[in-house]
Amino acid sequence: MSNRVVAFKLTNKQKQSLNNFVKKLKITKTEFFERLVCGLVAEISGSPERLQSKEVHENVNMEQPEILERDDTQGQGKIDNKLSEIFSSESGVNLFVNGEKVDSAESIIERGVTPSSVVVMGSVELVNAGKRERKKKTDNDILKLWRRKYDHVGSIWVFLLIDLKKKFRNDIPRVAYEKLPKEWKIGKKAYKYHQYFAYCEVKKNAKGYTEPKFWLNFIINWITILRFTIKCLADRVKDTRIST
Amino acid sequence: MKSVSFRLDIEAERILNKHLKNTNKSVGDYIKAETIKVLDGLRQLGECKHVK
Repeated sequence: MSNRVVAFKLTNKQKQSLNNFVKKLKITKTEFFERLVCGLVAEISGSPERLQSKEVHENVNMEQPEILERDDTQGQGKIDNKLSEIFSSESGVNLFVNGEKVDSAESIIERGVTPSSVVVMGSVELVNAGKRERKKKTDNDILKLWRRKYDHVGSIWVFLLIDLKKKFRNDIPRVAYEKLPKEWKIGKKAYKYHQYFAYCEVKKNAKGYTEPKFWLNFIINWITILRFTIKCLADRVKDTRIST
Repeated sequence: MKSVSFRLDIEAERILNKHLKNTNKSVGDYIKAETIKVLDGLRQLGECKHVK
């Protein structure tokens, strides 16, 4: 083990934030920087196993991970088939309405929730599957997935539960903050201190996502307009010839 | 000026050095940038209102 010493300037505000943060986590600043560097090295090397460094974890009293179980319940709803789809989704999605887990489209409707105000919560697991896998699960593909599912809805709120598994818990804010697309906001807390809500309003043609059908429709529309124009012109030429 | 110390194992040090060499950054700059990122993230978390 080598002992590195680095020096840099922080503003008073930043120092205060850092102090508050380490106080909250009940760790020393040295521990904070060790964990930060450990996290960085793990990310650079693409091996999350590095976060399990004994030296870093030996003093950490972590709660056992409480990973939300995947809800594979088949939707029973007949009211809105699209809404029911998410229950048979393979994306590991749990649906919550006002913080209450629901398992069918009917139960959503019973709670007076219309499709446009449906709150969807999926769980993103920043797991030990390696950098590429983690990135894959948290990029804009999720937005695309939800847009596709709710094509009939103008705007929905998508809630994701970021559940950092033990290996990444030392690094929650950084991992959560960096791994999500910019338009996502990270909520203050979820059930456990290692779980965060991320939420995002998904609109049609939202920034960072282009409706796949948009360009197709655009081309088809223009082809139709051109065909119509050509037809009109052809008819006019034909009329002119007949009249002469 | 804030001086911080942390322990690194040999392999971690090698990885970090290699990365810094590629990015032309010093360890101090790098740690500072990452610390500020964390602090900014925390600030944003503090500003976010509770999700209903």
